[in-house]
Amino acid sequence: MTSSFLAFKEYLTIFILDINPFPWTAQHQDVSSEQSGNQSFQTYLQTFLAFVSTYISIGDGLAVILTSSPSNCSFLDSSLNPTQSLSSFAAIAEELQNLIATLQTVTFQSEHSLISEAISKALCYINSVQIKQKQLPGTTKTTENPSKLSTHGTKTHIVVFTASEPNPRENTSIINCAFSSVKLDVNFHSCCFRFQSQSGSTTNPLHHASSLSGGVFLSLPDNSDEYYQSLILHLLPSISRPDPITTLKMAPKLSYTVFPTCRCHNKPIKLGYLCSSCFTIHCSLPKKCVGCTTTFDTQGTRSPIIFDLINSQPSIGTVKGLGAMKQEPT
Amino acid sequence: MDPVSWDTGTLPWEHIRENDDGTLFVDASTRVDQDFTQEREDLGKMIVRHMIRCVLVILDLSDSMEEKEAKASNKPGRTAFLKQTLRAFAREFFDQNSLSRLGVIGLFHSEGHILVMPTGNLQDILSFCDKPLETGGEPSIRNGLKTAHIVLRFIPEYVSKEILILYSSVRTCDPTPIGDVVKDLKERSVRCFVVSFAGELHVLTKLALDTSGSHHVPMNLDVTQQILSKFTLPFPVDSSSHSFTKAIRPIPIGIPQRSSPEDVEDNSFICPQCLSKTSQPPTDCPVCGLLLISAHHLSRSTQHIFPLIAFNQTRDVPEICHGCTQHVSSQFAYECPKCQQKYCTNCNKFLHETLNHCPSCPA
Repeated sequence: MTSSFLAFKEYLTIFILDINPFPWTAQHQDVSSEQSGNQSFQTYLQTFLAFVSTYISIGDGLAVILTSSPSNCSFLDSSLNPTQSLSSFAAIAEELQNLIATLQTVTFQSEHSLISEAISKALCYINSVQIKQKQLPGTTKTTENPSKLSTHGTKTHIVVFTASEPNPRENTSIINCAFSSVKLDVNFHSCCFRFQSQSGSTTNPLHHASSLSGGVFLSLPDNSDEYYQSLILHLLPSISRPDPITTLKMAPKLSYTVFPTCRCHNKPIKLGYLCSSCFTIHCSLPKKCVGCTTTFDTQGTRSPIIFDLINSQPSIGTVKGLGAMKQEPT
Repeated sequence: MDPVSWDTGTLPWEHIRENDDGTLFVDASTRVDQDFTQEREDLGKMIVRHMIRCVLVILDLSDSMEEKEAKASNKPGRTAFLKQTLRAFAREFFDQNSLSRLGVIGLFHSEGHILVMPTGNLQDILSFCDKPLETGGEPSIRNGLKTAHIVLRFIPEYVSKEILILYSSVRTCDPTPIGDVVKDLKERSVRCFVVSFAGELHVLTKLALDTSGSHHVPMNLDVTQQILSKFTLPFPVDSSSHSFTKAIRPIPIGIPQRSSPEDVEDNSFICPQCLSKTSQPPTDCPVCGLLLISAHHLSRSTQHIFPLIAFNQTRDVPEICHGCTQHVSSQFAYECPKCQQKYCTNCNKFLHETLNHCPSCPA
């Protein structure tokens, strides 16, 4: 597929759709409740299709759809059509329904889909598009527009639709994707269905990723009547314009703080010590680094008492994996 | 006699191709193969690097910046080019070095002026670039280095101290030779890197060589960006040097919390040690001086400690790349040794330099 058409498109949005029905049906034990779970899952898919068709119909944007399940993630071939329009949307809907039908023969036992793989593939796709756009003659170059560093004529967004939190093993990958999206000038948005925040804070890594890249994070409780209206009101203004609207702050903002865990006790900390060589975190003043085994010259000193007092207080929002070492450095 | 680049290098017109609709474009796929192969040996390996850095950028703001480009009214002036270069460099620097500091010194009126104190906040550098710059007078390399030495004197030993000079004049106006300043910089293990836009100066070349740095004279914007992009990577530690091992210290850090769960609009945080209000991390607490960082920046900083392992180059090229699902036109593909998925050249470069994990193998 050539990308020359993108020189004339104002914005590109990659929709990552979680097609795992397990979060919708797992909690139901009897048949009637399971049927209502299936009904909710179908409503979720129909809301997604309605939103994407609205996005295509209102402006000069291209919607690329990437589906994610516990076993696979792939692009919908019909959404990669460069001459996409509302009339060709029926092919996209049909391909998605066929894909869902084939997946119904497989029973997923995991509530976690391959979200980080889907986001990584979306970023690889955007990177290849941006490289091809740079090679086009007449593309705006940075020397002619010094106020905009990465303008290629097309504003890109990534939107994730999911009904469950990502696998904790994918936390670091999702944060890597967030920083990479900032570098590529891509806004990252998340819509978490059936997700309830606790006392105004959240530990969902998708929320952290959206906050880092300046995108929108929507948490939609279990009320299917309000899905479409919430998406139109809170998400559509941000992705249907070349420059995201920053004055309309309509999506409710949630606060979060992520505390890393120390390597010595695997406990979350607020105050600690960082090895200047290998960035291993210790909760108290170490004599020897646990990561790189360097001996510190800390004879006669100890960490302040305040460190122990503050670290012993309960902390809101602990995400394991961040700050913990995985391999021994050479 | 050393061969010149046009005798041994690839000719520029060799990469021009024609599209199906007749338009011309530069096919950089083979060039990307060649460039990335030279860097890959270094990126895939776990090498001990100087992770915490303090870089002072010395800008030449003398009267040479006020010269207008001849017959090029649509091109920006030299000052705008300098600001644009600094903006791009600062963004990439803080992306690669989350816990490092960047400061700016200006050379104008024969003096070195501190324009931005070493800071860990990207917004400080960007807001400086938005303001008009004062230019004029003669540039003085000696006074600029002297000012930089004063700033770096209070930096701890475990921090790698570097000076990046962006020079666009062909002269320097110094009261005395710079030998004594260079000696002071060498004693403090300060490395000097020079990028000259006007031409090579012997005094700058000697400065770079004496301080274990390098001197570059770029020919165009692309080469400038490549040079500065290479500079943003943390430098490997010299294995024969014992000073680095002696200087390793445990640094006290704090993880600041939001000021209140309801009020996130002002983007303020609370220091966990003294409970004072601070700006967004990474920063130093203005009251107790504690280094405040976020877990995400710490996680991002480990990209150089645990880099993505180098993929195996293979001639078994798939039709579609596993990453971007585009047709692979290059003669090489890159295979992940863990999951055996194959990627094109562009995706391989993106995964190793930016994303730092294979899509099919979570980090």
